[in-house]
Amino acid sequence: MEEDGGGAAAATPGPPAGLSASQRRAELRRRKLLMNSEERINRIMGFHRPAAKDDDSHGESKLQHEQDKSNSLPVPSVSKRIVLGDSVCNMAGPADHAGSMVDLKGDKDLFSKTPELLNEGTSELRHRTRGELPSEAAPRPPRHGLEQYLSRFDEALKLRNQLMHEKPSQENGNAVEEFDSFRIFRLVGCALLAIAVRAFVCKYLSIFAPFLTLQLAYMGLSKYFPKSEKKVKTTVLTAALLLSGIPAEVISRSMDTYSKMGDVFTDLCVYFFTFIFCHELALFFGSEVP
Amino acid sequence: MRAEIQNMKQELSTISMMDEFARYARLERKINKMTDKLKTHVKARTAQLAKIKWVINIVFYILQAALMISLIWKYYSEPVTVLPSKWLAPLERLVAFPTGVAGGVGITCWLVVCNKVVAIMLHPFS
Repeated sequence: MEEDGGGAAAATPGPPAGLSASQRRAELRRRKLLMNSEERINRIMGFHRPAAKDDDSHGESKLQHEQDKSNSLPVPSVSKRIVLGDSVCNMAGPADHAGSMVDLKGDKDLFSKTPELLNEGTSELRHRTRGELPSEAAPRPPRHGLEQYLSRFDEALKLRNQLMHEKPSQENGNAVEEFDSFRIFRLVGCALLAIAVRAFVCKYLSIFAPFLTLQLAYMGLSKYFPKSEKKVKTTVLTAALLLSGIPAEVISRSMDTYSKMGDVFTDLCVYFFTFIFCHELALFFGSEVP
Repeated sequence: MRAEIQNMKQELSTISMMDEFARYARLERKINKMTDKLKTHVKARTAQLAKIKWVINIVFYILQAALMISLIWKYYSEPVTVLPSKWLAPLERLVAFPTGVAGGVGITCWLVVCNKVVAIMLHPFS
């Protein structure tokens, strides 16, 4: 053990001459332990060192090289990287992470710039558009599968963060309340329309025509209500779809369409139920024969 | 066990740490041990409750599915109500499924509608 320590100490500058033998041995042991831990970390991080003699300088130079690589990224890409999640920010360094919340941009920006960002990341993701491959990305060696998986997981987290920060902060206080009010407004409107249709319109027209008109009116009115439908409730599904390689933009649009279809179906159910209920009441009390 | 821990804590507050350090430390270790034990019990009970809740949910869903299937099986040919067919145009066939009665509201459609409406009504309470 001590011989090893001595061998390791030969590669590094020796302890000061004024120390006693026990102190020198303790110093050598400390350095050996430090070197071992650093070697282990390098092995975990995937830095393979060709020779043991220049391990310190080589490891440091590799780390420095990686840092330089990440620091030499162009400024817009850094800001995009910042937007898309914490894990990506960590790769770019603490300074980037500190500004991560500053450069938030719109949804379309996020989605349209995602492929560029991925090209600059540590691994290649599936939802990168192939036409945007940078020239410097091609000669890079393929990374480990674990890193690819982790980067996909980062993508899932990224989309989650997008969904969480989609709305401006000033709307956060009453977002749920407004969404509920709009939903209640829709349901009450459908029920009232069903009563009106049963009373006046159904003798002349199909009952679905007024409903479709009402839905068109809701689509127009929805602009005047704060949009807070996109919640984190689809996180697991979104993450699963992302991990299976489906582009984030497609997932987001699909979720949007799916939620709108769900809203329309809910309205239709309420409308139809109210209509049938009123019809049965009319039959029961008024003995009105259709 | 909680009451016991409370008692021991009260007792601990009456002991001077500097004068009776050994007793203080012994009692503190006892409290820590008891607290750990309580945490383990609480965790186990929470896990058991979650498991029971999960089983009840599964059973409830199975019963609901069985009830719906049996209703559809029994009333597949009888409409819930009959409206003039032109009121339901152009979806009268879909609404009447599987009865085949023109203008009728089939049990399948009615079950779906009722499920949704009940879910909406129960939403504020869930």
